[in-house]
Amino acid sequence: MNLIMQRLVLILLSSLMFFSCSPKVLYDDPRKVETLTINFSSTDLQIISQAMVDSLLRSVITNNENKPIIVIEEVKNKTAEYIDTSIITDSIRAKLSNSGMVQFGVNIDELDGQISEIDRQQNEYYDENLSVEKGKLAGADYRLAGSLISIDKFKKKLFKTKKDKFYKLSLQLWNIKTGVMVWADEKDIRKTEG
Amino acid sequence: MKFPAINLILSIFILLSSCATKGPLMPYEMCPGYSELGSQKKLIKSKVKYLDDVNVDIIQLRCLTAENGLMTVDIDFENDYRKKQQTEFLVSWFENNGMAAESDPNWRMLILYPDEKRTIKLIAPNKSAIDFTIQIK
Repeated sequence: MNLIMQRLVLILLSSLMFFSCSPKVLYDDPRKVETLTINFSSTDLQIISQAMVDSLLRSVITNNENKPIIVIEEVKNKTAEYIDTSIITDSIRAKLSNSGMVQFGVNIDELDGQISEIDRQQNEYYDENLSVEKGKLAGADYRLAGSLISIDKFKKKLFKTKKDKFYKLSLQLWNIKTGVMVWADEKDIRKTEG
Repeated sequence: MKFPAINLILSIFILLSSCATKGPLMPYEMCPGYSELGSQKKLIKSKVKYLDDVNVDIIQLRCLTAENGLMTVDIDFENDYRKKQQTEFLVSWFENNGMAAESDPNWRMLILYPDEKRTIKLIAPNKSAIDFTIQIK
């Protein structure tokens, strides 16, 4: 009897410990400023993509009555961190597209998918009149390209390390026909820890 | 004898002043709602909402519609305290009928040093965005 009681108490205690230690999951606002670590964060993404979109919307290309077609290249990650820079490119493209001032053409990474879909529609199972024709892809007027760099510094003190991180996103817009750069801008972010 | 001359001058002055056309609007007068409110102070009160006790003030708003049809807004922030202030602000854009023009705007961070004044330039997300509100926390 005593042994059973002991086991019961043990089970009760361990289950109590398990439930008290399990982390609580909550939904949070994705728009809020996030400063959990010094590394590239969702807030950094929002800051740099919004700054670039604002700058591009103020540029001369948006004065064009015919919405210019832009191809966007993936932002090159020249930082020491692993950052999936396609989220920067996608965020900029979505915001610019929603402005209704520009259009986006198929970029080099999406071309294979586009061609494969056109080829698939040439298949005998598709209605000829409802299938897209080959050779109708629109060529872009401008090419948007850029890179993200970072400068990392740290200083060790007695019990802690002071870190300083500097990010710079540079973007350029090139006229494909003339090879002239028609717009360029940069956005800096500095973060410190410790 | 002098009275008719004075009357004449006064009449001409009144006539000229009534005929004079107003000059071009100043950028702060072009902000939506300014014509009804009539002052910059009232305009800021109607557009800006402070969610917390923040030691940062908005001292002027200027609006302009760019050649491409997008509204641009200059917001003059001021920190007249003796400490560095870190604040966040959120700009929501609205269409003519009061519907939200941008689905999910983000909070933007702002750091102001003591006695610093800073102008933040914003641009509407699309042509249908013609009004805005600012929240600060």
